[in-house]
Amino acid sequence: MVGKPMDAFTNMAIDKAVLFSRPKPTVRLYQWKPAAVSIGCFQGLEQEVDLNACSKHGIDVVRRITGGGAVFHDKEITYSIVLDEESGVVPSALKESYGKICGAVIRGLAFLGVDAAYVPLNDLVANGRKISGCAQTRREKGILQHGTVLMQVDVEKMFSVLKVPDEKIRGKMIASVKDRVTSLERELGRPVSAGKVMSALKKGFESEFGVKLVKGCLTSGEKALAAEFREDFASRGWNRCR
Amino acid sequence: MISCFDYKVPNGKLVRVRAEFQGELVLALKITGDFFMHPEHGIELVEAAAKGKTLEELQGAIERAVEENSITLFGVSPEAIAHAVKMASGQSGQV
Repeated sequence: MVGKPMDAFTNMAIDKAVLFSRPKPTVRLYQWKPAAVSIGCFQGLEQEVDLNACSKHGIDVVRRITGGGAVFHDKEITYSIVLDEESGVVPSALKESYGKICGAVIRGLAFLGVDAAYVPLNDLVANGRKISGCAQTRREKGILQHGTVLMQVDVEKMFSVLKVPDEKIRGKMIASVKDRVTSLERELGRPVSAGKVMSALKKGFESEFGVKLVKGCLTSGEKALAAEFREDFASRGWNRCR
Repeated sequence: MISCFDYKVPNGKLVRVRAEFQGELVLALKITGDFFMHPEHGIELVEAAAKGKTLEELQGAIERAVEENSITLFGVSPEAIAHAVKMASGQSGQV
C-alpha cells in the first residue's frame, strides 16, 4: 500500500488497523504530513519531547504501540509490514524476525546503491552510521514491524523538538548524533526522491520474501477500524500515559 | 520519598525509573525508556511486581514476573531495572 502522506495519528491508526485485520501479508510505505515525532510505547512523553516547540512548529506528536526510541519523521520514508505470526514467513523468534524484515530493507537500500548492514536489535547502518531504525510488536497473533529510512537528516531541527538528557551538553550531543546518523543523501552524495526510495523498498521486500507485491488499499473494515484507532492515538490519555 | 534515576544500560538502552520509597521498601515504580519489551503490557506486570518489595528483593521479584509472564526484554534486564531503582533510592535530588 502506498498512499498520500498522512498525519501521525492516522498513520499509526492504519498500521494498527491492518495488524488487527490482517487479511493478507501487507507492506505499507508512507510519509508523514505534517512532520511528526513518534515516541516508543514505554517512553515518557514530556521526558522526550519539547511539546511547546512541536506546537510552535506544527509538528504532531504520537505514542506508538511499539517500543524503542523517539523518532522525528520529516524527510524519510516509513515502512510497515504486517504478517500472520503463524504464517512462517518470518522466524517466530523475535530477534531473528527483526533480522529477516530488516533484510528486505537492506536489499531495498542496495537497489539505491547503499550498502547497509543489520545491527541487532533494531538498526541498519551504512558506513558505520545509522540510516534506518525499526520496532516490532505482536498482537492478536499478528506481527507488525515499522521502521524508517532517512532520506535527509537535519540534526539541529531534530533536537529542536526532542529533549536532550542534559542541556549543558546539547552542542556535544548534536555533534555526536551527526557523527552517528546518516541519510541516503549523505551516502549517495545527491538527493533521492521519495518515489525512488519507495520503489526500491518495494523491490527489496519482493526480493527478500520471494513474492510479487500487489498494490492495494484499505478495506472498508480496515478504514472503520483505523478511524476508531485514530481517536485513541490522538487522545491525551494515550499519549500521556507515561 | 519519591526519586528518579536515568540509567544507560551498558550495550543496551536508556532506562528511567521513578520510584516511591518508604525506607528500603519500594511503594511504587514507573519505568520508562527506549527499550523493547514483548508483550508490551508486561511493563505494568513488572512495575506491579516491584510494589512492596525491599531493594534486596527487587531484582528477584522482577525476574519472577518476567519468567512467569513469558516477557522478552531487549536493551534492558531485571538487573538493570533493579540497579536503577537502587541508584534512585540513594539520590539526593528527590522530587
